[in-house]
Amino acid sequence: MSEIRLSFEIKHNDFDRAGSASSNLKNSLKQLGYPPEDIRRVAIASYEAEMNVVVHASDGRMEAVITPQQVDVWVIDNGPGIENIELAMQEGYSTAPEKIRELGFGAGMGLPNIKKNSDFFEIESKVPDGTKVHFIIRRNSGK
Amino acid sequence: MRRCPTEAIRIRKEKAFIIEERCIDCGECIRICPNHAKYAVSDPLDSLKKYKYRIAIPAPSITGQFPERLEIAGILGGLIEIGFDDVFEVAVGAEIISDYTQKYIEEHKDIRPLISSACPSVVRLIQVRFPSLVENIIPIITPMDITAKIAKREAVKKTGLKEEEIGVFFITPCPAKVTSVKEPVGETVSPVDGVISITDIYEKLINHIDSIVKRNDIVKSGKRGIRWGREGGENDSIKGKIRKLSVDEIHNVIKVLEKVEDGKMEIFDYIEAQACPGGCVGGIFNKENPFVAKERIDRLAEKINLESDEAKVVEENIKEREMILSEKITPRPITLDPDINIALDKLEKLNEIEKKLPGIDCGACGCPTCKAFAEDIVQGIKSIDECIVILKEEYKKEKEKL
Repeated sequence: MSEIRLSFEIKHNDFDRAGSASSNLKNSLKQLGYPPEDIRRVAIASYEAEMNVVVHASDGRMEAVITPQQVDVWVIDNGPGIENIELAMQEGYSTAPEKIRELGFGAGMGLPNIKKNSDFFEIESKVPDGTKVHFIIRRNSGK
Repeated sequence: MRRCPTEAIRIRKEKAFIIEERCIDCGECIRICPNHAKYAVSDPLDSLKKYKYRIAIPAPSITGQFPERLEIAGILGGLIEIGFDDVFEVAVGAEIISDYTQKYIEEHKDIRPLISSACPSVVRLIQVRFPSLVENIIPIITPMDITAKIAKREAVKKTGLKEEEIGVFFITPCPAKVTSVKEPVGETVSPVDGVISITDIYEKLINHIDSIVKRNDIVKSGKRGIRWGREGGENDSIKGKIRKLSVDEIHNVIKVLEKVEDGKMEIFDYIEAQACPGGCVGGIFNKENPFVAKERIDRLAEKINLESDEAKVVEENIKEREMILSEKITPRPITLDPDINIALDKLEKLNEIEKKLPGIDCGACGCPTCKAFAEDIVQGIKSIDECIVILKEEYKKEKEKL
């Protein structure tokens, strides 16, 4: 069965390159002719996950496996981890400092948005080791 | 070649070649190339002869193209003198479209942001590069189209001629409009019969600018509509409590659309997006510097009423469904293969090839980027030994062997 594995680095606090991993993933899906509605959901979910690493974590990476059936994405970082996942999953809850909010990030919608836009979502986090966000978007599940 | 926002240009046999399905008619290549390798085509003035009654519908941006002393009345008078029987300004139609756009935004709150459909290059950019945003394009016809419909309808009443005997000609700053009349997006047939470039009428008017009879009697536009000719004018013309963003120049538009795609622009209700720098004043058929033209449009717009009385009169006779696009705008993405299994294999190969390439985007192979070159290799159009950097390495190795 055909599949493709993609891997992208994510740099903490690098706002110039922020979004490049999700942008690359998005462009690959366009080249593959993935349905527009699915691309939109992958774009939103992967961008949020990537920005979480840029804003809150340390360096990390995004791994994606694309098959004709689905897009499977892992976003993994090396810490510091999330103290209270339940709280982090609440809409509007954010630990982002003021200077980050001024840049237009940290509205507390990141994790809930990933969940909302994916067909499968799981998060594992351990203080201080890091966080692993895993989500799946199935092809043609949007509409 | 590298300036092209959709990587549509390749150099083949020492000539710039455009891959049609990628081209969005933005005119960047025409604007940038010092050797004028690319040019745009519009209808000749001679095509007026095909019709008994000829109406010019000039784009609002024409207002900025001539010395200020000619005034709007002089520009319209000039069009009559070069062979048109009547003139109907697109600025009037723009006002009508602005009012309906406001209504549509207020009544449709499910998609945000909505994106203007007025710039044909932006619409095509979305079809090709942002297929998931096709739904965000507001399904409203352009000021050009509504103006053409009104002008033709009024002319039938006024002259008693048949529709096909009346020719409606758009006077355009924009080569993309030529394509959108010949191959409309979102409609089956365009109500416009011909497109004449501002370049073609410019000299005819400028050469005897002081003898042109000013026709104040046919100036019907208001400030709102005229300012559609420059960036921000469209947004300013849309009333109501609507949060609007204005973006111009194709590469800037791409950056904004990326953000829309990532779900980061939902706070905005509406985006006015134009491919040319400065909006339509930056269209490549224009003669005047776009920054000068912008200021001139604002000055001339100050001299007329804010609102057009004519727009109010004709607006009453237009049904809302006439302003809605009759067909859905469809995505037109450039994919590696229609079969996703084959596309996956090709993408895998493409990524492998890309790793071998120097990544300096030198363009010597005739492709705009190393990535585009890798894509052409995968598609069987190019072979890797056409990369001059790799060839040099090979040559070095061979030489060392000797």
